[in-house]
Amino acid sequence: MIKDKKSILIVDDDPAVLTIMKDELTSEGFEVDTAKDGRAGLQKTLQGNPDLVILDLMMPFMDGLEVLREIRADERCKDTAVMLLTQVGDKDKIAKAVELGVAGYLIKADYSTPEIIAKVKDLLG
Amino acid sequence: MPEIEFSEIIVSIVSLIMVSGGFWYFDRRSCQRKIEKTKKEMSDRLYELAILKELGERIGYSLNVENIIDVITGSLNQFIDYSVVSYILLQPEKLIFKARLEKSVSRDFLDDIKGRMTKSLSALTDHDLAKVPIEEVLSGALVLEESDLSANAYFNIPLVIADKLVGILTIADSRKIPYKEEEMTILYKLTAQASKAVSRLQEIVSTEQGKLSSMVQSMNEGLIMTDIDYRILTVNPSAKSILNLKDDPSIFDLIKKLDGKLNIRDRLEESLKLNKVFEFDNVEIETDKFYKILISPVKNKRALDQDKILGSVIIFRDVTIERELEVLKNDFTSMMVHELRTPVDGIKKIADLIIRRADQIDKEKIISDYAPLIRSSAGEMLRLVNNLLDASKIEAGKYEVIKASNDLRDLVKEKFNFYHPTAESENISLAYFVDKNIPDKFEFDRSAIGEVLTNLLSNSFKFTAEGGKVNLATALYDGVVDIKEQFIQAGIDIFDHLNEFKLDQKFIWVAVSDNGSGISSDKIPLMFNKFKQFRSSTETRKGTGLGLFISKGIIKEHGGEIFVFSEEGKGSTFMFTLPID
Repeated sequence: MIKDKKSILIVDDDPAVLTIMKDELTSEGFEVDTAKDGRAGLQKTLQGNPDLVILDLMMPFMDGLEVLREIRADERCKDTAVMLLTQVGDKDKIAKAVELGVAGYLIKADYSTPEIIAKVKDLLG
Repeated sequence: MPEIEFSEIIVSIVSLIMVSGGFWYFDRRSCQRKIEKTKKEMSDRLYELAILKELGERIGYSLNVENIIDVITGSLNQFIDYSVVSYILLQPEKLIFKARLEKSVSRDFLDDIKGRMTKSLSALTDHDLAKVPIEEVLSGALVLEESDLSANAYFNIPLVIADKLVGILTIADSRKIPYKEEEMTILYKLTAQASKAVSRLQEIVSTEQGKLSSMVQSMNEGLIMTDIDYRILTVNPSAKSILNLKDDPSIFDLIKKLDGKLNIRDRLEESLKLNKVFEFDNVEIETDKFYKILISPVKNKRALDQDKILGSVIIFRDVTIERELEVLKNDFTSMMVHELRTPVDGIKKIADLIIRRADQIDKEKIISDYAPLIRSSAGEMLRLVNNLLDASKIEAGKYEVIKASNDLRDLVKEKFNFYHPTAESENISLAYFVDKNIPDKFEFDRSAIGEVLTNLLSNSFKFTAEGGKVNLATALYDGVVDIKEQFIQAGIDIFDHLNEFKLDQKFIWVAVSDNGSGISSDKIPLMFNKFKQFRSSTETRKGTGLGLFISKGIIKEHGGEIFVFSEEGKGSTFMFTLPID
């Protein structure tokens, strides 16, 4: 069965980011789910295998890199597109994420919402 | 210091000259008859002073006995007649015989006085010096092949410095009349003065050397001195321990220890050849121990051999802590940037959303969804700024609590009510216990203690997962009740740390306990430090790390104590006490 709407999971512990991105991306016609920490994010990814995971790095209980590592280790989700949307500009973390395989790496405050939407649309074609 | 001594000598000489000058003037007017004699005496006296002045100057930069005696022998002929002035100095393996000829004398004359002097010295030292090699230096008039003049008038003065015999000084003449007592007195005075000056100077120098050496020995910095041939002269204890060197290490030991970190051989050579100071930052000598290494040529600052390079000094300064602070500072800056950017970016993006999608969103959604987000983001920023302000006040000792009669039960209840919705939404059970013996009112700063409670509760919620529990409790310890029982009743786990409480006095305790992730034992002592941020892959949490530092400051201002008890994987308890009469 071909899904008519592309699905996106947003994993972030900042309620503002979750609310804004969910409303924005829903308005753009995507099917959007949210998770407010790393553990919940991993669980939802493994269950639903969304078309795109938008992932924060600094989160309680399980940070973004760990979530990414677990996703890549899973047979079904190992090729799921993951885009990092975070405030952390740490070079080590970028390098590790790139090594694990990410479709994009955006620093939150450096990108406006329309720019982020454009990136998401690019990725989901 | 020798320089100070020298200026003292000059001052006393100048005043002596002035006083003598005044005397001289007075004498001349009053007593014509004595003029000639006085004149002679005065000029001798002035001359003596001039020699002493020169001695002072020389001694200022030299402790070399030979140089000093040369000053005396070089100008003695101005007031004593003699053919030869000579001295013998005792040296470790030899004797030095130096003679200055005012008149030409024969080789026999010289050998005669040399023999007599050696004999006198032998008697004085109680050692036969006849077989000891003698180094001879002659100056002044020519030595005659043959002459019938022999050393008829002759006298010796032992040279004593710091109560130690160093040699003998002799004047000799071919005249038949023996030396007069005044002449002997002058010579005696001069040598005695010189000896006294040198003795004092030696004392000062050795005191200074002692000070310098104990300073070098006790320095925190590692210090190694080498001569110009790279031989190690001094290694202080710090250098030994920094480099893990054995006693009396060679330059090769040093090269080996620094192999791969710093080419010390080449740097020493460059430093000596180019007369240049080299600095190397952050040389990691042992794992995680960083040093700043300074290599500098050592120059002679004394007048005679000015700027002659004597060797090198290598200094090792431990910069490990500075480096750590630098890392901490950078961490703090990036943390602050992150903590500020997040709410600012949130507010900006909400406003942007409302503007861009104005025709799609209804007013209710703005009020129910977006306005609260703006409010909480702004609140977060305000809290951050206030925290910074409080932390800097606490650090400067300027944080003041305003104590008033307040109800603690009411405050605890208020905080419980505030966190109740959070607990429900995160599926965490929040329990609450207030001891009935807590007084209705007592003195504390309500808003400050409220802030401490907020810090402790928000930390607990941050580190406790869904399904976990957080307990908030307070009770009075009256000095009688079993406090252990009290903790159990209130659901507070102190992980067997009862011994940390001072149970000989009354206090009120307030605790926030959780069964969250807990804190590893090595990190517990750092919990209340400013800007503590634990960096590990599983502990990347938001927050400034200032909350506990501020809490500690507030509790301290109240005369109480703050504790953390925790076990990794089991949970944490943060507790503070407030003294009560």
